[in-house]
Amino acid sequence: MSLSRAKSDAFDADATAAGSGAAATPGLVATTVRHACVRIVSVTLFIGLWQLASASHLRLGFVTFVNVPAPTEVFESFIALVRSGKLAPHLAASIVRVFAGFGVAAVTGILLGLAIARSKLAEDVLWPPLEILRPIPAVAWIPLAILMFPSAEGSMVFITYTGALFPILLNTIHGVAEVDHRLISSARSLGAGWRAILFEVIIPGAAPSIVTGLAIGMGTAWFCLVTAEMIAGQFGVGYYTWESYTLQNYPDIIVGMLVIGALGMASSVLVRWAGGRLTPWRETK
Amino acid sequence: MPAVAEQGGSAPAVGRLEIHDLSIRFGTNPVIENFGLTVEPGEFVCLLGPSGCGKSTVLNAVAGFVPVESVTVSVDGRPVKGPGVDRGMVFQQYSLFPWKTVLENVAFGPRMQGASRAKARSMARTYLEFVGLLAFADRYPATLSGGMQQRVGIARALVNHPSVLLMDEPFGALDAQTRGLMQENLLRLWEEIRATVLFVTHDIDEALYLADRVVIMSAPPGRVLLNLAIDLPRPRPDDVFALPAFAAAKRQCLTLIRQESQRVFDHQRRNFS
Ligand SMILES: Nc1ncnc2c1ncn2[C@@H]1O[C@H](COP(=O)(O)OP(=O)(O)OP(=O)(O)O)[C@@H](O)[C@H]1O
Ligand SMILES: [Mg+2]
Repeated sequence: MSLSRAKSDAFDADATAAGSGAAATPGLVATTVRHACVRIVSVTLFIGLWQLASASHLRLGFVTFVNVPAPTEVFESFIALVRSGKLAPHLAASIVRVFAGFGVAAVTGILLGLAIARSKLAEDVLWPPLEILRPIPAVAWIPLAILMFPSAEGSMVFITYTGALFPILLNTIHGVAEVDHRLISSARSLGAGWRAILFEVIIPGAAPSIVTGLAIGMGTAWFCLVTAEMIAGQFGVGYYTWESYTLQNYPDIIVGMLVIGALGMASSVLVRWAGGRLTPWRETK
Repeated sequence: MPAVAEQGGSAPAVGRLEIHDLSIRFGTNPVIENFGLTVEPGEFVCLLGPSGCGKSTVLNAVAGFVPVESVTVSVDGRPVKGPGVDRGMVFQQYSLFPWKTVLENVAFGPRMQGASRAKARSMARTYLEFVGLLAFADRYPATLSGGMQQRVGIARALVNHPSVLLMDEPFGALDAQTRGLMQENLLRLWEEIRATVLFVTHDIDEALYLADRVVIMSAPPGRVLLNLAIDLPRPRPDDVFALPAFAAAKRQCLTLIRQESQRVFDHQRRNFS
């Protein structure tokens, strides 16, 4: 029997049927536009209510808008801050700290996670102390970190690191544990050694979960850094926000808050984008 | 395609699978007891039995995923000590590497054997052609239908030239239509490569259609209950299901399996209620 006959017509029919894609649904564009409009209106309404509450010095008893600057003032302060050139050093300080803490957390979290998930010995040796430290919020480390690190810079990076480490570590362990054992079995049957299994099966298999851990870790890194900067910092957006409060520059508080939010969001997007590039097979589903 | 064709032709001399007095327990739970089976080179054997009787466990033992005593399982006289490329495995589902393209999945085996990337890819292309999926070489598995994924799985196992092909309900998740096509095509491939096949299924029709011999396992702990040689013409005619020999074999299997399934059911009710 010849090879070409081994492919029956029926086989090919199956192949073509599954290969054809679905056409775009008409009306999809209109729906998207409508959703976008509703969202824009919602944001506008939110800012409008804020403006109204601040301008009218709204008092509700348990909460008061007397000291809350209006969006217009915040916007003016923001422009002034950008013009003054003081924003860049604050931004730079925070970004360097976050990426230092997050970067070290990513490397150690992934390596520790792989070791703990794959080796019983590593689990027995490494996991118990981590398990003890895990429930302690990173922010609770601040006083001790200030004592432990001679430089304030070191203590802030350490807090950021502590905050980012556990989500990355736990998601790595979880991701490795979730790798389908049939994939590992298949690889072994195909002749793969431990190195190929680690790099071509375990790590790609755990990658989606690791990326999730990195994204969560990036969020906690910002959260922890801002807190640390408020207490121990010189420069940095957290420090700037707190300083604005002590100096009674109330609009600048909100400028600081919004900058922190924007930075957090931008770095999450960055992590997810990088994660998507590293796991291209997931986008084609 | 020389790589494939060179295996065809006269009766193969390799792929003799011997399972001798195999017993496996998980904890205190004996799953397999005194299981014995010899599969001749190039023979197609289907393993049938009630759900939970240990069919997958036997297959995993042969594949080397479940540790067994050194003398119990051997291929061509060599005892099975762990997974090896002489035994290719095809699972029911989800065993392609989702992060590798179809081509990379099939090329994985040759690369692990030390073939250069280029050589591995060209071998993979040969076998994708063999299962009719060369056009899908650059797709990720998730973008293929279940039947197509299983054909990639078969190509990935075959590219390593295993002397024994192990298949654990490979078509179990497919619709009846696709399953029929897959069975037909598996027999075509098998006639070409003539590897020994140990095929697990719980579909009696499938077993009778494919196999030279059907082995029925007992309720747990699993052992061989019946060895039934299937005397049907090859290649199978289109009306094979209507042949009296088919009906007779089917009735025999059905009675036995129903009886064993009832025993599993009773056993579970006694022990787990
Ligand atoms: N790793 C394991 N640990 C403990 N028990 C197991 C393990 N694998 C299988 N078993 C038990 O062994 C028995 C046989 O399982 P097995 O999967 O081999 O059955 P099967 O015949 O393939 O069933 P099915 O037809 O449903 O696939 C079951 O009772 C199952 O619970
Ligand atoms: Mg099974």
